[in-house]
Amino acid sequence: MTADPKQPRVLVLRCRACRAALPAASNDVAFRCPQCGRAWEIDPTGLNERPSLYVAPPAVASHPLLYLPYWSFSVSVFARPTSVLPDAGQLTARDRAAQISHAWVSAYAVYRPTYVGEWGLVYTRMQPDWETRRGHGPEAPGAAISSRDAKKIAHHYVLAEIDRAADIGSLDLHLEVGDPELWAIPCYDIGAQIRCPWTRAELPAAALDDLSEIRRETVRREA
Amino acid sequence: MNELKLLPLTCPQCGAPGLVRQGTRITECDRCGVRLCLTQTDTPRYEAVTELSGLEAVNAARVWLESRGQVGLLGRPELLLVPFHEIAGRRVGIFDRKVPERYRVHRTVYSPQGGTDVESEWVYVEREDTKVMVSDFQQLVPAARTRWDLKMYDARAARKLATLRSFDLVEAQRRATVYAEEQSPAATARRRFMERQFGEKGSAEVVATSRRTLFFPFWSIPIQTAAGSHEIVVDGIAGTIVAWCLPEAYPGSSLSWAVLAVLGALGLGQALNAALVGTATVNPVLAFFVGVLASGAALWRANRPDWTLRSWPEPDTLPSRSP
Repeated sequence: MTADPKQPRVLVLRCRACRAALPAASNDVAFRCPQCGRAWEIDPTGLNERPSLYVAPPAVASHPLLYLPYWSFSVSVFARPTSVLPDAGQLTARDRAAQISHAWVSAYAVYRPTYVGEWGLVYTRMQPDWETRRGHGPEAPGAAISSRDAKKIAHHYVLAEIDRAADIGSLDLHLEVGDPELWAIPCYDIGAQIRCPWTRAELPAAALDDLSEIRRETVRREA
Repeated sequence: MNELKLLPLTCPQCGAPGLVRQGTRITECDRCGVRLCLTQTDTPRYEAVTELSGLEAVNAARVWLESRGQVGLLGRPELLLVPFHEIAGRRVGIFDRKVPERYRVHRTVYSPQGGTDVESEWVYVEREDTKVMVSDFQQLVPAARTRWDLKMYDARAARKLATLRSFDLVEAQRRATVYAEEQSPAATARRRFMERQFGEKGSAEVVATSRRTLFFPFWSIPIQTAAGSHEIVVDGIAGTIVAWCLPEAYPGSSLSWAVLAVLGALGLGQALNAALVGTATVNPVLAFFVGVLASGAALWRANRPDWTLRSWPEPDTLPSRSP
């Protein structure tokens, strides 16, 4: 007996490693196990494991911390000017390409990210040297954007970053974006806004569609 | 479309049958309590929570009416929930464009009289540039036809102010009139968004899209004044007047239209008399055209509705929200 393709497939949201129940907001497509810290993403075949990491919080936290999900990709990019006598911009682009080793994309739903600010793009520009840890860590929500979509966005983030220095049409580019990793990166929860501890950038809380669910889940687990 | 659909499902863990409401992705098994996730769902529905009570809406309407120098009896406000399709996502792509540039060229010109001179001129060229595009989009399209004009309603502003919650049709119909969606969100996206926005930019790709149906609240308040019956529609989130029905002030009175109709009948009668009997007091062709015009105008006036709907009046007529 074959399953009706029109009928939705029903998955049990349990960690396949430790059998703990996976917390999920209404729009989540990837989940982080609160017990063992493994990340699982829904795809048509079922739940697939993704590497899960979290960033160590700042040594002195000035506000309550909240962890937000990001898709992270290792990036290998090589740029070479096509002209024999490259200009300064092309040389800068070549050097900039050599510096980019990771790309991040926000995995939470942001309302108008181009307008309010997309921290994944900022981190891709900054290339921060964070101390990352694996396994059981802080309470972190799941991802609302699939890793497939995030990979396409990350690809364009890297190209856009190089294009800031020189036109990418004048460069011989070789770009490879690696496999997705689900990261949890801390930020300060200051009521009407959330603030990045490293860049001090602020994002209005109203711009995050699922923030109320993330906060509720964090409070519930801390309790 | 506007019916509560329940989809059957079976818990993979305990085998218990269950029902899940249309648009739900995450649910729990009633028997074993395990959290379940559906791999494919219909478009989720949300309701923008009404910030404005019926009393506040009536107050806003009264203030607005007084600002126009009118007094009337305000009826019972009726809550209306109107669906909008929200289509959001990110657009990525690489495209080539031509950037206009100009630069100055200096030339040394020698003449026997003046000696060496430097001439300069501007050269205009188009430079090819490859642009990486990462942008986002959000469209809020009305999904139902209402009595008033929704084109001028700022749904985006309301979306920013509103708190969303899951939409329950049965519960919503108990306290409000719910407008039915006229087409699916997918059809709206195809018709209103994809063709228009991406018809020219074929290389752009849309990722991380989400489709939702949001029900926005409106208060409809009937008002009876000396001039006739009115209806005022108040935005249920911001409290502003969205539209109103007022009797239209015509330049001529009803009597003048009746006179015009009589003239039309007389003119047509003259033309008919000239055609059948062959005698006429006025030119029969002129009488025929005057008769047609006058009769047509009188019929048009008679069939025209007494009310017209207008949206977004002059800014000074908008009432401020009552504290």
